[in-house]
Amino acid sequence: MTLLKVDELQVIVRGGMAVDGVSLTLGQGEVLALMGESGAGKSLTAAAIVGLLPPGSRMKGGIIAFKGKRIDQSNRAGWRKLRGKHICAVFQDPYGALDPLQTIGVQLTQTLRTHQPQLTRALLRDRVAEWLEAVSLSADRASAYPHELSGGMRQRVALALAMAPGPEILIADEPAAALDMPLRAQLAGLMRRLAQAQNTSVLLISHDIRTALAAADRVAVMYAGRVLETGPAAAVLQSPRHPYVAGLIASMPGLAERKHRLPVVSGRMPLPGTAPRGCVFRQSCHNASDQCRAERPAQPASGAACFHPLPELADAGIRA
Amino acid sequence: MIVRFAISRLLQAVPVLLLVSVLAFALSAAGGSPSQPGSGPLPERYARFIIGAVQGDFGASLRLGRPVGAVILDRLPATVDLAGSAFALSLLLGVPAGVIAAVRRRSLAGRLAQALSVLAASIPAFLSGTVLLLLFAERWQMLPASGRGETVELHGWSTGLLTVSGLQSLVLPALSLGAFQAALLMRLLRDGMGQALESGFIRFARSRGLRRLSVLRHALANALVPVVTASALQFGSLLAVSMVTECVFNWPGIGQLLVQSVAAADVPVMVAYLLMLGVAFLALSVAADLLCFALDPRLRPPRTAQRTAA
Ligand code: SF4
Repeated sequence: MTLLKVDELQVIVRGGMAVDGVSLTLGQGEVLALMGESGAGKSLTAAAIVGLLPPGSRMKGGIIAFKGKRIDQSNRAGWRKLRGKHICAVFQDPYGALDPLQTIGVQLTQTLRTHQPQLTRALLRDRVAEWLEAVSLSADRASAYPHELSGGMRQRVALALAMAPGPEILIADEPAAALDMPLRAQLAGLMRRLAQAQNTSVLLISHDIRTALAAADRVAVMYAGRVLETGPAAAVLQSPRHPYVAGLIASMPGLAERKHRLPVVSGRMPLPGTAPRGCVFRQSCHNASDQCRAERPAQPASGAACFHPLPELADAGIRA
Repeated sequence: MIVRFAISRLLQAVPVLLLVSVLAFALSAAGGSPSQPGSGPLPERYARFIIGAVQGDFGASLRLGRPVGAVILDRLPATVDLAGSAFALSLLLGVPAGVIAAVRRRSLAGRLAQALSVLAASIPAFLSGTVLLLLFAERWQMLPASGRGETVELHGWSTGLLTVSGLQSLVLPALSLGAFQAALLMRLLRDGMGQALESGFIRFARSRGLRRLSVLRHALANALVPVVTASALQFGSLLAVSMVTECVFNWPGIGQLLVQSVAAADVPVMVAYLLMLGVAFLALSVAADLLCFALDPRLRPPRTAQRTAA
C-alpha cells in the first residue's frame, strides 16, 4: 500500500526553482533513500512533506498525499494532527535538535504526553526509560542535559524522540551526517531496527551512498532539483542506468566492480534557478544529444530520467 | 552547587568594589569634606573612610547639615518606587510585545509593537517626560504633574504604591522612565525569540507534533537567557537615568538629590551616591548571573560522576 505520494513537487527558494517536479512514492514498511549532493533539493523535498519548509522557501506546485489524502494545503491544526503520530521528521544537526535547557527525560516525556495524554506519571516514566534503552542509553540518562551527551548519544536521543510518537512515516534528513563512519553505520542500523519493530516507513535523506544503500530498499537520486533515477537499491548499485548516477557510484572507491568503465562526473551541479533547458545534467554529460538540449526527460516511476540510458548490466559487455 | 557559585561570583565582584571605593574616596578627599578629617597618611584615611561607609556613615551633608545616611534614606524609597515600577512596566510591556513581534511578525499587532518600540527607543527620557507631562497633566489634567502624592509608612519605609494618589502620581514618571527600557527589552526578546523559533530544536519539536504553546515555551525559555542579563543591567541604568525623570516630575528621589547636591558642591552626598550606585550595579549583575545559572544548565559547572562513554 502506498502511504506517501509526492507528485510533481516544486519548491522555490528566493526566486529560484530548487525542487522542480519531483515525484516519489513510499510504501508501507518501506525504506526509501533520497540521495544526492548537497543543494540537489533533497532536504527541501523532505521539509515540504512535513510542512516545515525553512523561511525563504515555499511550495510552488505539485501534490503531497498521505494515504490518498492531500496534505500539502493543510492549515496549522491539520499539520499538527499529522505530525508526530503519522509523519515525523528528524533533521540534520544533532547539536541543534534538542532543547539545550531541558533534560532529555523532560523532552521525551513531553513528546509522549502530547500523543498519549492518558498516560499516568508512573507509566510515562517507564516509557521514557524504555525509549532510552531502545536507543542503547541507560535509563538514568533521563536526567542528563543535551550538552552532557556525546554527538552520537544526542543523535540516538533525537531518534528516540522522533520514534516515540509512533509515526507511520519517519523522515530522517542526514541524521548521521555529523558522525564518524562507524557511528553512522550504527545509527543507520538502529534506525532500521526501530522502524521495522513499529512497521514504520522511512524516507532517508543522505548524500552518503554507502549509508543509503545499506539501509534502503529503494533509492531515488536527485540532481539540480530533479530525480534522475529511481529503483531497487541493489539494482541501482549494480547497474545504474543514468550517466550521473553511474558516475556517482563510480566515484565511490570499492563500491562497484565496474567502475573502470563508468564515466566520472565532472562539472558543477547547476544552482537553483540556473538549470539549463532540456536535461539538467546535459552540461556535464558525455552522451548529450540534440534531444537532450531541447527537451527535459520525464521522471519515470522506476528507472532513469534519460533519453540515452546506459545499458543494463546484462549487456554491459557488449557496450564495453 | 548554587551556593558555591554564588560565593565565587561574589568574590569576583570584590576587585570592582575596591575600585569603586577608591574612586569614591578620591572624590571625597579632593572635595575636602570637613567631616572626614584630613589628617594622617592616605591609607589610614582610606581605611577610616571604608569603615565609615560600611556603617553608613558618610559624614554630614554640606547643604543640609544632616547626616548623609539619613538624607539618602529619606529619598531612597521614592526612587525605589519609581525605578521598581518602571522596571515592572518595562517587563510587562516589553516581554509580551517582543513575543508578539517575533511570533506574528507580519500581523497588525506585530507591526504595531515594532513601530512603538522604534518610537520609544528614539525619544530621550527628558523629552518623553515633558511630552507626557504637557499632555496628561497640563492639557487633560488627568494625572498629577509633580511629587509622589500620598505615601504610607511601612516600618520607616515610605511607599506610594498603596495609595490612590500615590499610584496616580507614579503613572507618568514610571511610563516615561520605563518606555525606553521596554523598547530595548522588546527588541532583545524579538530577536532572541525569532532566532530560537528558527533553530533546529524548535523545528524538530514541531515535526513531533508538539502543541504550539509548548513549542513557544521552549523558544521563550531559550530567548530569555540573554534578556535576563541585559535587563538586570538595565535596572541599574534605570537608577542612574531616573535622575532626569525625577527632575522633570519633581520626584523627591535620590536622582533629584544628586542633582541638587552637585549644584551645591555637596561632596559627601555625591560620594555616598557613587558608592551606592556601584554596589547596586554589582548586586544586580550577581543576581542576573544567578538567574541565568538557574535557567541554563550549560552555564553550570559539569556534574561529577558523568560517564561519557557512548
Ligand atoms: S538525457 Fe541526455 S544529457 Fe541527460 S543524462 Fe541522459 S544522455 Fe545525458
